[in-house]
Amino acid sequence: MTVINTPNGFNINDAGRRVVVDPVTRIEGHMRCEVNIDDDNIIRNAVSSGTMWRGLEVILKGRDPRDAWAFCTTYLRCLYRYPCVNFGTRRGKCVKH
Amino acid sequence: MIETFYDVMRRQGITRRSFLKFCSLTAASLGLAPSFAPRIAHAMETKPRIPVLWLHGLECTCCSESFIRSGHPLAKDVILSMLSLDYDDTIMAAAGHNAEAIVDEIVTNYKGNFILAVEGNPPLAEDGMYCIIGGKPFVEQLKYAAESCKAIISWGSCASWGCVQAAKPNPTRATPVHKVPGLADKPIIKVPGCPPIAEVMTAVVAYILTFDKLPTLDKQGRPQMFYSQRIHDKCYRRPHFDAGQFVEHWDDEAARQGHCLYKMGCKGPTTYNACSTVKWNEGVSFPIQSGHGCLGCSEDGFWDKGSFYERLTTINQFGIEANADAVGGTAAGLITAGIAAHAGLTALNRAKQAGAEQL
Ligand code: SF4
Ligand code: SF4
Repeated sequence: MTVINTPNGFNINDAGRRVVVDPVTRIEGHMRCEVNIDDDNIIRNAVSSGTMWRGLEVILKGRDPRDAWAFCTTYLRCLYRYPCVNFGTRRGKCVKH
Repeated sequence: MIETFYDVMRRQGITRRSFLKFCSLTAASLGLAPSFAPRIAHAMETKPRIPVLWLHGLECTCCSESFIRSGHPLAKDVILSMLSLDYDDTIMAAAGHNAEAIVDEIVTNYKGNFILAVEGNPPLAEDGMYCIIGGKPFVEQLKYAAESCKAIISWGSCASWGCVQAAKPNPTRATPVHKVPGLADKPIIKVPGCPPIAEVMTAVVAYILTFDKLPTLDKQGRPQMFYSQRIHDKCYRRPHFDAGQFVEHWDDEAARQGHCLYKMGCKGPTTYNACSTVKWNEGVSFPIQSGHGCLGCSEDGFWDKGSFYERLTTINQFGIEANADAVGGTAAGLITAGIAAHAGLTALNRAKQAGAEQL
């Protein structure tokens, strides 16, 4: 059995049947899931990973703190809602959501 | 038999009546005269559906979010079924290798005949390792699909300009689509904005699909019909700008009165987009209307032009026209009405122009 240890403390191996789903769809962003299934159809190892990194933590350094929201909300605007829709409805009637 | 747009719509349970309504809506949102509606209808009844491949790179998915919430539910349903988004990893049913197989299928079956919509952009640093799809760098998927597509739509500021991930120091070397080295030479339509307005997105798609040609683009490659007006010129607070009435603090009297947000960092004077006319959420409002300045999100480099709250120093604050236009807040209503009438007229002229081009 080959085992690869990831830097953040997980391990990926090729034991049993290995199922990889990449890309995981119907989610925001990019994701990969791997599981190992033994002969009794039981998942013995499961690792998921986000496969995109933009470095917004690095980009934010040295910027005007008031601007941070405009960068950070792009982590996942699906949840946060995007700025101009937010601002646009703050005093208007909120049509949806 | 090749399916037409109309077949697809009927299959999705859209009635003929709704279909015709959609055609006139599309004509209106494109600034075309009502007489164009039957032409759109005819095109849709006879043309085979064009498949769309919608790829996602470094992004926050706000473009998809905006798109699927386009103000008019009908337009949204129709467009979605028109596109049938053969591949869009945010909303498609298949996952994993089944999803990837669809890319291959479209690329092989519709060579030179599908639209490639790109949301987000590829990182080039470390050979593209900062964005991996199906075990391969996104940039490879992008180049592969671009090779056999008909045209590329760059959705949003990421694909068009780079957006926040390309902000200094751009750690992943995020690169807008048109600057990707080695990308096949295909026409690129940029639809910038973070996100672009839903109505603008649906209209662009409808235009390409019905007229089978790309909309007229400006120098920067954006559809002229939506990106030729400056936020500042169509802003309903403009009379206050001209009269020198500015908000100086978020909670001062001027803010309550709805005065101009220029001193609070509004980037309207340097931003070309349709927000001050089309607005957001079915035309309910837009940021300036609720008291926050425009960030200039549809302009190249908006993320590195100083704070969003610092006032613009690159425009002439009071031009000659400022004196002529200097009117009190009371006349604001009048002015806005004037602007609306003007907008109506230009839309009509545009329709005529577009009509002439069609024939
Ligand atoms: S500066 Fe901004 S708020 Fe003021 S008139 Fe121009 S677009 Fe409107
Ligand atoms: S108002 Fe300005 S920041 Fe907001 S979406 Fe329009 S162009 Fe972008």
